[in-house]
This record gives sequence, C-alpha cells and structure tokens, in this order.
Amino acid sequence: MTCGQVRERLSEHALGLLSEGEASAIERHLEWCGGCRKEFGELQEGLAALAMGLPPASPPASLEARVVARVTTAAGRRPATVSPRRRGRAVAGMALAAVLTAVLAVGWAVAEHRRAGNAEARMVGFETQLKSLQALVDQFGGRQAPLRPRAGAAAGSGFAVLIHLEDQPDMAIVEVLLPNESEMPYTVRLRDDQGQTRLSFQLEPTNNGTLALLYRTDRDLRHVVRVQVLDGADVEVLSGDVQPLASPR
Amino acid sequence: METGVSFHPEGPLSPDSEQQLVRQMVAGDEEAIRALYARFGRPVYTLGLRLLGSREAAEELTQDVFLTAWRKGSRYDPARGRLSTWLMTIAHNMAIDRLRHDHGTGRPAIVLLDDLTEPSLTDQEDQLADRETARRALAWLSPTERLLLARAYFHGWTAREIAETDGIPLGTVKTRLRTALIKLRKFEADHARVVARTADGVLE
Repeated sequence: MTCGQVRERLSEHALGLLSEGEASAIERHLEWCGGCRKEFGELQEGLAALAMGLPPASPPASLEARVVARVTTAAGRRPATVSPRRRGRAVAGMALAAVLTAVLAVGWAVAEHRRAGNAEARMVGFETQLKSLQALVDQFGGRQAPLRPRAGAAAGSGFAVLIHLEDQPDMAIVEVLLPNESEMPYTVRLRDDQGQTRLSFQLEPTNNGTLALLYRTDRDLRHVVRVQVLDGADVEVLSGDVQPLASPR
Repeated sequence: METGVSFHPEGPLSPDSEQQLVRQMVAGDEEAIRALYARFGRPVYTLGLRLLGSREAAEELTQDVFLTAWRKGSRYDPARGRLSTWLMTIAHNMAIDRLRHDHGTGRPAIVLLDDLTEPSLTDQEDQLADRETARRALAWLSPTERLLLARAYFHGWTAREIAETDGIPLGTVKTRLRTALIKLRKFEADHARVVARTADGVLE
C-alpha cells in the first residue's frame, strides 16, 4: 500500500469502520511509516476528545472493584482490599429491566424498517413504535404526551413518556421524527407547573432515523407537566402537555 | 467521587507520569489500577453505554477495556499519543467489534443516559471543561458533518451504510468523513497549544 492509498482510508480506520483485512493492511503500513502514523495519531486524538467530552453517565460503584479484581487477578496478584461499595438506594429492579428491554426490543423491530431507507417506511416504523410504547405506558402507569409542532413550524411529530416507579429513579423517554435534522442539537426541556425546568437533555440520532433518549434521573419528575423540544437555535419545534399525576406518591 | 483512592482525577498528567502509571498497572499495582479507573473509568463506561446501549454491556466493556489495557500496556508509547487517546481508542474499537458481532440482534434504537450519582464538584468542573472542549470542537463542523460523525463514531455505521441510508454516493460519504476528521484534528491541535501554553504559565 502506498502512503496515498493509506491516507485515503485513515479516517475510516480511526473510526473503526474498515473490514479486518483492510484494517490489518493499514496497521502493517503504520508499523513502518512515521508520517502516516503521525497523521493517524492526530485523527485518533480528535475522536478521543469527542469521546471524553460526552455527557458523563454514572457507572455503578461496584464496577471499580470488579475492574481492580480482573486486572490484579490477571497480573497474578489478589486485590488487597475487596470493597464493593454499595449505593444507598436500590438499583434497577425487575420492573425497570422489563421497561428497558421492551423499549429496546421495540426499537430493534423498527430497525428493520430503516433498511427500506425511505421517509414513508420511517414514519410507519415510528408509528408502530409509538403504539408499542403506549401499550407499555398503560402497563407501567407512565404519563405520556404526544409532541406536536408549534403553529407555523415545519412538520414533525414525537412523543414523551414519563415513568415513575416505586423506589426507582424517574425516567423520561422522548423520541421525535423531524423532517429537517439540520438544526442539531435538539434539546428536551421538562417543565413543572411553575414553568421551571426540571430536567433538560439533548436528543441523539438513533438507527431508526429518529432522535431519541431514555433518561433515568434522581431528580423528581412528578411535577413535570410540559415537554418541549428546542432546536439548536433554542427555538421550540415540538411540545406537548402531560397529565398531572392524579395523586402524590 | 467515591473512589476511595488517594489519587484525584484532576488536571493533566505529564507523559512520564502517564507511562509510569501504565507500567505500575502492568505490574498489577492496585493503587495504579484505581488511579487509572478514577480518571478513565467513567469516560470508558459512558462511551460503552453510548455505543452498546445497555448498562450491562457497558459494565462488561469497561472491565474488558482495562484488562486489554493491562495486556497491551507494555507496548504503550507516550510518544505516540496521550493515555486518554490510547484508552479511548481501545474502548471504541472493542465496542465497535461488539456492535459488529451482535449485528444480527440489532443496535439499540434509544440511547440510555442517567445521572444516578452526583459527581463531586471538581469532577464536574473537569468534565464540564472536557465537554466544553468537545462542544467547541463540534461547533467547527457543519450540521451535516456532526450528524455524519455521530453516526459513524457513536453508532458504528459504516460509510456504505450511511451512503445507502442517505442515498448519496459512497465516495462522497468517505470524503465528508475525512473532511470532518481533519477539521476536528485541526481544532485539537490548536486546543493542545492553548493547554500547553496554560500549563507553561502555571509552571512559571
């Protein structure tokens, strides 16, 4: 492989998108070519910075002990202290696992539609998913809101679901289908009856051609009554109202 | 942050201390493993969650990434890049491999995020600084390029899949990916200079 051929493929290699054969041909070249190696390192630095800049998720406290145990055992040493710290609160139980599995399974079914690759199929898939999610909401007693475009705005649709389970963190699931995704990033704001923002987060592209996020939070979402989706310029594109909770928990 | 170690995941490490930390880890030094986990455990887990879509898969990935880092540690060369780049590249490659392997069962349709534990203030400031850097880096890119990178890097779509879905020629997708990464690289280089200058200022 010439340097020219390698450089043509370096971006895809840095993104991990090449086949095994192509990747190892590039790796062989990088072993001896300092120039290409330097360029490859710079591409990797840029991507690693993106990864390090993701909004941080919270691994369970016990993960550290498991990592330490795996590595020390592999290195032939036993960990000096085995102290899996237990979080005070209960972590996801069966009900929650069921919710997640169901939501994700619905998404996978819809993924079939993506292969059709056209807007109509996406809409069909989206509506199928919406129906499944409604069934799920009925089962778990969540609150839902269809999200509609504001008057005069471009078309689009979406839904939001808020789930409150005993002894579980509250969850918000928002998924939208927008004709024009160029105004990224889209932000969701959950507002309470006083108009205060209880939670805001950014939607991510899914493999269904929609934007979505499932967010679990220690924050109390029981007072949320309005869901807004704002575009990159902070203009509201979709919104909807959720029924207030019938009675406090 | 509840790590129970004397190391704090703050501030940049020098290349020498990064190499030292990796060497100690390879030797099975528990304190070094904990220090590395304190710095990189959360970003590795976050990337795993983003790519694989489940907490269980992200936890498994995190353990495997640190084990792989231990295995490959003797080959870690600080001259070839920062420790964060090395570890995040391992994490990304392993996660993409799993996505490919599990392709038949599909990829998650919904990205799961949570904020169950409140990180300490310093931790938050650190992460906010990182996120700010990433946000500014992304601001360099056009919306099309951002979406393209998100699909390729965070969702593991190949250039061919992107081309087929969007109905644009494969060559165009490849060119756009390359342009986006080159922009990102330029931003990184400029940012590294700013950080280096700031670090020099502190040393004086």
